[in-house]
Amino acid sequence: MTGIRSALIRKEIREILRDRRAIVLSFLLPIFIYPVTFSFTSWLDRRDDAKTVEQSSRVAIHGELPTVRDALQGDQWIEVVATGNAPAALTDGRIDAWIDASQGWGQADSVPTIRLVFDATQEPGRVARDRVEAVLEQVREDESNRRYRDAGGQGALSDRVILAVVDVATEAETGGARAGQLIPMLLIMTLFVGGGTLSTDLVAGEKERGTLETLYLAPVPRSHIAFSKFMVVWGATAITGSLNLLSMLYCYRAGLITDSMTGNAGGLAISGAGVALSFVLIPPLAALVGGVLLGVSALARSLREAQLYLAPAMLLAMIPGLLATGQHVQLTPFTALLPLTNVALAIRDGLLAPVPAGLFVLVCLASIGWGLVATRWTTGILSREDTILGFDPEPFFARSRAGRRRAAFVGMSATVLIFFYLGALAQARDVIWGLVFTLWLLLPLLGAGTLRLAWSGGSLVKLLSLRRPRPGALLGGAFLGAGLVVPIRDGVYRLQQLFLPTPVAFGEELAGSLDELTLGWTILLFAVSPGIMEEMVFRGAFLGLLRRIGSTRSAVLISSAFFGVIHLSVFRFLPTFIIGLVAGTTVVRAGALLPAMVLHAVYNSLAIASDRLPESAQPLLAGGLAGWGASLILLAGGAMLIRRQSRGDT
Amino acid sequence: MSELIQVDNLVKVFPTHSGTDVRAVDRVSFECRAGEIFGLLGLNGAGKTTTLRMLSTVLSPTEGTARVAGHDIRESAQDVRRSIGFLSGTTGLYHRLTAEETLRFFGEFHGVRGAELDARVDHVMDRFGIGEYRNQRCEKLSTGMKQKVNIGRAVVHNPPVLVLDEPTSGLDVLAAQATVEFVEQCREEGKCVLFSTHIMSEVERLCDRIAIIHDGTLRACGTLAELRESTGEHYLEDVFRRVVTREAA
Repeated sequence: MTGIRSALIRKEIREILRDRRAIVLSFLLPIFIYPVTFSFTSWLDRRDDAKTVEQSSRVAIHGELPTVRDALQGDQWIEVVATGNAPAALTDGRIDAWIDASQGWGQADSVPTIRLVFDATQEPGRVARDRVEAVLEQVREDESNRRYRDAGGQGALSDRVILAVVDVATEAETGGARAGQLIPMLLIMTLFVGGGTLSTDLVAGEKERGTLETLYLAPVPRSHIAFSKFMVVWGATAITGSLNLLSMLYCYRAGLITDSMTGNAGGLAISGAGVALSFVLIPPLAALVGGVLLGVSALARSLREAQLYLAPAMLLAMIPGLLATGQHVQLTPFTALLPLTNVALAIRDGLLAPVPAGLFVLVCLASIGWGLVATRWTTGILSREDTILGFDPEPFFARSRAGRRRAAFVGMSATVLIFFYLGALAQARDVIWGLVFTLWLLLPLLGAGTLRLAWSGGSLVKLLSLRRPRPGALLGGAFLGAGLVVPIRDGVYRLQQLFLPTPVAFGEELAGSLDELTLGWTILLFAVSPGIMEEMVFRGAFLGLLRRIGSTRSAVLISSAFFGVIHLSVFRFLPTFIIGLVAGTTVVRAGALLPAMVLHAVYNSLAIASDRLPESAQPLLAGGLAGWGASLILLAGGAMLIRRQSRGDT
Repeated sequence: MSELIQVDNLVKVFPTHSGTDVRAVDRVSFECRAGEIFGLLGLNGAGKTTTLRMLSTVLSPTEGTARVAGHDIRESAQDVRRSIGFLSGTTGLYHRLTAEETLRFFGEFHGVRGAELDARVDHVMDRFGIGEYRNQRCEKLSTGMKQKVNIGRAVVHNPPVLVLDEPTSGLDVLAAQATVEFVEQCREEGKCVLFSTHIMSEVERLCDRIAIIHDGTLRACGTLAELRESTGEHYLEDVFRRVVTREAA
């Protein structure tokens, strides 16, 4: 019997070891996902804690008591702030706590009181309480001793001065803050569990039972089938989410959530508005979760495979929930766009206090938008022959058009990610050598890697547009580069300031490093090098690959978007994206890469020069009417020369 | 007799992980007429099912095309699906729907509604003797009864073309017999039946013309008499083996 059991066990293990998906998803992913997730959230915690701790606590004092003021001013982490209305300032977040030292200090027969007022729902408030309470405790002790001595040592020592710590947060706010720490994550997880069961049956289950093929034999567009499935999963996920939320809120309200989780055994009050907002946010959240679940299930060939896929998807979805457990990530116009995270943060904040209407609408619209993206993705998957029939999918990097497209996007995305992290790391250590490393070693390696992955053969010279251009095109590239400086600097950057103000510190570090270099070296490093290497990769490799798998227009747009992203800053994205568009169009029209290199190098050189040289030395780059006029002439001239080159080619 | 299926140089290529493309179907051409049972004969993996799936528009051809009841499979996929009844070993039934619900559901999908749908469902129930089980969930039905419901599902909209991919596979003798009789009735009703199988006796009994497909290519096509004459063999098994081995050699 032992031999038979052992043989059976060996057979099962052999089967498992040959199932690569099971090994990756069940064994390898869990090993990595928790360290990665918790490292990230811990890093956010530490960063936030460090920020909070490094900042002084702003404290106002009501009532004149020199000992209190002196003691507080003696602490380096406490900043005493003057304010007319301390309670209002605390509500507005202008101060972190205030001290009322006005009661009982004048009367000999009354016990003087120091009241420390703070808001426990706010992290800075809690930090301020800890700091100020420690100081005030010393004041209370000193003052008690003094009064005891003044009284000739009669009476009790401990009752001479009272220190009262008052939390201004209402019961509902406290309850909302505590519930908001847990509910978003629980809600996301329950949506995944509830919707996941249904979506796996609706797609992977149908595939396994053969009913999906039967369904696809009906004269109904596949998009209708995908949409109807999505609607069912959406609805069911929203219902399961609402029921879960209702049940969770009841547990909080009834005090069924234990002390260790809430610190409160008697049940928590949660505002009606917070509850209503949470319920309103469930349908948009369910739209996204439902779409993702359906798409993930559609990728699977069987129920078992679907369960394998959904487990890591759920683990990944925990990250936004974890982000909402603390206060280190705020709901902003940016985070309101992030899938899952936006709803988690909105629910967290909404349970505490009303969420600004604009942000709330943005969260809803973004979630519905992501839901539509997920549905579109699902429709695409459900239209694929391999997923309909459950046979082996096309190799991810197949030689088909779709395979080449996937390879190109994976290569370009990997380039951006690796460049982003390694480039930032290298340039953080040393701006100059970091730039040399990223431009002359890292970027070409990544570009070559992308080419290796997505190139389907043919002439590499043609793909990279390495043909020799006519002199007119080179001149056109130079004109365009020169003509872009003023419109980008005085037009695009200024326009961007309206909706995305650039921080003052931005670029100061870089500027500081540049001061060490001569103008010649600066231009060589920051103008000529990018002009050669970035153009080789973005307008050569990326644009060439993208033109083979899609339209020229989309190729220029996508390569420009990647070019914008790789500049490592949201503030640089729009200007570099526009430069990418112009350079990409130049390559397409001129049929050669060199004019775009000239354009890039000239633009960067003049942009550097305009920062370095006095305005008197560069009248046409200084902006104003003359600068704009000259730029427009240069742009028009450059476009004409490039167009002329294009005509000459045809 | 009018041609209800015209297959013109159909090709289906599947990319593989090794990087080598597999031509599952390679320039296959044939036609089937109304009132004809056309047999598609081949080994497992010969390309029969892929060809039929392309004709039913579940798969799209890599090259070539076909017309079903006058509709191009590339350009008018939905019209093709409206004109076709498809049954294979992989087309399953919804376990939690009853037999009647299944027929109604697929009838509605094919645009049959109201009194016409009631009449069609009753007709199919009577024809296949499944009226007694109309309110039973499909998961509770026997394999033979499930197959009857599945055939009913395929014909509930009364299509002029039937594509049957190994319809007797896995059935017991009686259920297989009932299926064969149903196919014969379809011919009498003037339907065009494309019948794929590797059971030689069924081909000999049913098919007016036979196409032998091997390694994705059509190796022979004609009546049984024509195939016997061209190979010099009498039994269909021998004819089949001769065609396959001759071409392979």
